[in-house]
Amino acid sequence: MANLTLSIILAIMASMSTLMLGIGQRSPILPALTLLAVTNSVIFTDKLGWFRLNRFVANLAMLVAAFFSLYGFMEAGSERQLMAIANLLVYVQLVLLFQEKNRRVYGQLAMFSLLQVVVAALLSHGLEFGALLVLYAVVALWGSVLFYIHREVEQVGVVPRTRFGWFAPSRSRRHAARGDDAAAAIEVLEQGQALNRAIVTRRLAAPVSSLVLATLVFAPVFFYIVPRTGGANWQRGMSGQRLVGFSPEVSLKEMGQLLQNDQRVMRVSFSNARSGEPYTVIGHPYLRGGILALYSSTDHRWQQGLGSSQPPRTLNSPPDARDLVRQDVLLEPAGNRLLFSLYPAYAISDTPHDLRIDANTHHLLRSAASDRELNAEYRYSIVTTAFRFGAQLPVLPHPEKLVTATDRQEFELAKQWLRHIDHPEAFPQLIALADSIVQERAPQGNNYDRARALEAHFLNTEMYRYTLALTEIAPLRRPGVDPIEDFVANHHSGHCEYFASALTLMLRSQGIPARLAIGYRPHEFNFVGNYFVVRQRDAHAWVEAYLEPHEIPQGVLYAEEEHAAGGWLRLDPTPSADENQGRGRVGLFDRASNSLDYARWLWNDYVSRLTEERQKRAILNPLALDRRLPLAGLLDGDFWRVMAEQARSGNWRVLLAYRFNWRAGLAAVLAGAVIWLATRALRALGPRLRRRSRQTRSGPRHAPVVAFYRQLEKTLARQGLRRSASQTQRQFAEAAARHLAASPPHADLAPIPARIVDAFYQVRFGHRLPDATQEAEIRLQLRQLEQGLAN
Amino acid sequence: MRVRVKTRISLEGWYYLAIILFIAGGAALGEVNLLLALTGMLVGPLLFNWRFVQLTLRRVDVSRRLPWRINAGDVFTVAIAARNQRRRLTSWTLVVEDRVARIGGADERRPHQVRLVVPRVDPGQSCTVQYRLQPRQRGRYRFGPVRVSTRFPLGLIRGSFKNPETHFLLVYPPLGHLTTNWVQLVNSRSLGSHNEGRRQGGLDGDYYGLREWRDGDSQRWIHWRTSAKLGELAVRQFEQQRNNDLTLLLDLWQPETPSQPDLDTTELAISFAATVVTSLCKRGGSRLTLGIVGAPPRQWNGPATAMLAEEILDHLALAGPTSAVTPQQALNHFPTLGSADTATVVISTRSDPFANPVAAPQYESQSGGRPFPPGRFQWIDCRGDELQQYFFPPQKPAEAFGERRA
Repeated sequence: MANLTLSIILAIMASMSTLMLGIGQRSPILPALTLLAVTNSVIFTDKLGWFRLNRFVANLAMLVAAFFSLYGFMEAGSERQLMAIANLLVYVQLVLLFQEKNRRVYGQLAMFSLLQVVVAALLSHGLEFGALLVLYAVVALWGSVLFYIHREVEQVGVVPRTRFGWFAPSRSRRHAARGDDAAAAIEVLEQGQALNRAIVTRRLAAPVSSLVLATLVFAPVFFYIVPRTGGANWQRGMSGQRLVGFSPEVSLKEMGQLLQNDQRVMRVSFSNARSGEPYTVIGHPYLRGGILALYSSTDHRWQQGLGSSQPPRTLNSPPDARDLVRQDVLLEPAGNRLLFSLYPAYAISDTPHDLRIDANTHHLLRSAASDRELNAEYRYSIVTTAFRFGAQLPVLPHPEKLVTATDRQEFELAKQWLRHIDHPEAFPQLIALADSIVQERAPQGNNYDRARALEAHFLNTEMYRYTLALTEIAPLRRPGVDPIEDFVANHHSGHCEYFASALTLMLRSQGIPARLAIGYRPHEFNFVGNYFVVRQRDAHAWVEAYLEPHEIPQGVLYAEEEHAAGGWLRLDPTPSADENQGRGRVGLFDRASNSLDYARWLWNDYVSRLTEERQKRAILNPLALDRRLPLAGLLDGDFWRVMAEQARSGNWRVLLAYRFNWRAGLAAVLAGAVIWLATRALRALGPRLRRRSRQTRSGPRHAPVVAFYRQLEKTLARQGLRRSASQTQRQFAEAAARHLAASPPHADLAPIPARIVDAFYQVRFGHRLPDATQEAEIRLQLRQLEQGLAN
Repeated sequence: MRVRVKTRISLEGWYYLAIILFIAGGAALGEVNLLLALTGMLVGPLLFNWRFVQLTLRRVDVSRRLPWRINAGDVFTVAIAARNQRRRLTSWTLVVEDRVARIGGADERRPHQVRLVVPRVDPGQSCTVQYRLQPRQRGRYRFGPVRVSTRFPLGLIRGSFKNPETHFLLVYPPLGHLTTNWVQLVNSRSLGSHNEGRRQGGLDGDYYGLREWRDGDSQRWIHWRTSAKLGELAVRQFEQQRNNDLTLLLDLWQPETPSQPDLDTTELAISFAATVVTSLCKRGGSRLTLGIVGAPPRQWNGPATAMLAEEILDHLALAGPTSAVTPQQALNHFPTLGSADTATVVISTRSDPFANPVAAPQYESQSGGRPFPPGRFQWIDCRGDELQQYFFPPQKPAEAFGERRA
């Protein structure tokens, strides 16, 4: 027997679960198809009953859907196989939607919907899925309650007296409204839709809301206290995202329009390493990812150049600097081992064990990462001394101390490489320009002064123009001329790689060791979560020029880092569009956007990619008050191991004292006392509140009894008969009787309203409650009226 | 009464649990956090359901209302009231399962089971649900025990308690209608003749008023004082008393291996007897002597009152046939039945032995030495058409619900 409300709720559930699948599949086709199907099925199958698939056709259609999906299942890749399963679930659900609804079909629809959510949980892990999951839970719980009521109402009646129990044919197991045999005949009076309507009222919202609330409270608690065994590996492997656009090489051959790519690369937050407070960064930090030392003028490409003969090493411990700033980086799936950081970088206890630093290029990387791990997000924490009073220092110390003569020789050799220009004859005008600038602006200056002068050439003149539209400069390009030379001498237009490349070569032409640094310079700061959002469009190139120790200006390095190896001056010749971008006035949209992004971060960190380590650090340890709360102890494998050892050795006293925590005990006692007091207070206040509530209502004792009169009004209202404000109930009954008597099919129903109104007057004004026989009679009359009017 | 609520997982709950285990297994093996969150979302409602059914049934009791006595074939309403004695928390969808069984019937061990749903019982309130019952056979019916359960709100966990209280209802034989032949039969002065009824007492009945003199009135009826006052003759009026006393013998003989017609005949005889007793006692003013030859045999003698009728019907509701008694023994069972001038009717499930005049003399009372006067004795064989002269059997009960529906 179909129940329209239940059908609608199951249709909504089906739509939502398919939408979740659609998010996972990144395809709107199935959700759109399902939405269309559920709308049609509710209208044409459930409400109007115009179209219904019989069971044979439905089974045939499901078989066809299974074969169709099997084709997709044979394709390689677990994600594709999952999608094939998802498709099958949707197809079967579509078939079910157009079947006549009964208990079986309702149950199957709910089951398939839930399975779709399960598959969707494997395919997607975004915040959108989470929000939909919560909404789905609310709808599904409502639907489940209605489905339960539907089942319960269906079973009202006389239980058939079969000898075979569950082995009896299903038809004979069904409960009948009437039971009949030689000894007695039984008929149940209240059943079917009328009973359903008596249960499904507005008041049902209270227990269902409690159910929803309890579920939404319980689920997070369950989620966070269940111990993890790993690191959310499924999400790592199934992300399917790769960081595109960043390359450890720079090529200047590309022409055409470069698109602004908004894809998120990472989130970086800075905090005071000692206090844990967020660290306010002034300006936009330079997150270096790689260093390019060799420029090939033949293929116009920057490469690392300096081959690494030594294996990568672990990071050093930080010096005792005042502004020791912690960097927490959440790197999206990158597909390579390169990591980004502000330098100098130092290790702390939270730094991943697989994080290394290249001995020659001095950039961070992941050691021994498998393909699966490289395609997963990566999180690392390191500290840096790159800031002073919030500003990033312009000079970073050379990471090696050059203690031995061999070290110094090797470094000298490296510096030679960094002064080298491949085919200097290819850059006549560039070199000449550099010479003239230095002669003009820093004739007596050291390398620092000269470097700054060359940088200023790009920043302070209006000769150069920053552009991503390389198509505009294509007609101006001179064939056969190096792009950097052409940029400096001819068209003066380009993006950061042109500017940085030109400055690097100019510095080298002046004998200053220089290298091209590549990485990101984020402009988007999320003030809600206090982190920088780094996107592909923030990719940047700048220059690092080597300064001898004596050339480094006073005070730009911490004393602990000032040593004989000198430092690297960061030079950024690219004219910036707006230094304050992302830090300006915050509008409503920005707030919403920031909040959403922060919510996404939280979702990723604490739900979809919650790892064992993060769970212990962020959830269990704070709850456990330094892991000594018995609850956390119970969840800890070490605890049980120690317990077992102690038990084997018979040391029971130690067991009893193990991890007992007075603070935890006191907190538990206090919490218990508060809960007990609150319960007592509620119990004490409850009757008073109820009494007050009763006083505001009129005749609560009569309310359930006169419900039969309201049902009469409701029944007559369906026929367009409504009591006007000026009519008494009796007048209304008389009017209704006249109306019914006038229409031949309903003429025999005419006396019923008057009879019910008589009973109503007896209750309402005579204060005489009907006895059981009268009640039965009233119900019978109402039912006759309803059935008569329905026919 | 404090009841113990039993909680167990329902069939749907087992399915649900299997799904939870499936998803939790997937979450653990694949380290899928979202599946774990989904598991939490599924476990929560299960626990809520478990707790809610316990709370819902706490301090809930049920009571049943039954009529005192009814006749087979009558339709009556069984009302079961569920009362929520808690101060808070409404009880939702209480499933009340009542059992109805006819004691001694073939299906006593497998009683009728009626499932009713109480939609909602607010705190401190009660709600009544009803079903209609039409017992088709006389006898004692047992109602209960009632099992109250709920699976609200999701149907995953079932909490239940049993109210062990049982009620019994005595169902009288079904009543038919007596024909005018029967009335004539009983009112005739002596069965088998058509004499005028003889008046009771020394005078001509009980005095109840005065009227004017009419020709033919006896001089003994004149009320002289009133006549003197009025100046014309006034006579006393008397209520004429007929002798409506009845001696009834219900012979419930049945073969040792009865066929269905034999069983039907027995029920018909009992129904006839019950109708006669009910009719006589409702009218009153006579004496009834009844003997039942059956299991167990029983005899009554007294004024036809409602109390006597109830006593007899109580017995008739449970009376069973016997196969060990001959017609002679049947008559001899009750030597003191009636008086010499009382009409005697035998309602029997076998033929009339007095139909054979040769055999008739042997049916004399051995103890009293007084034979039944042939003229005041009527044997009604319920197997034959003779019964139809005196009795319209009750309407077939099976049609009762159907008729109302039509």
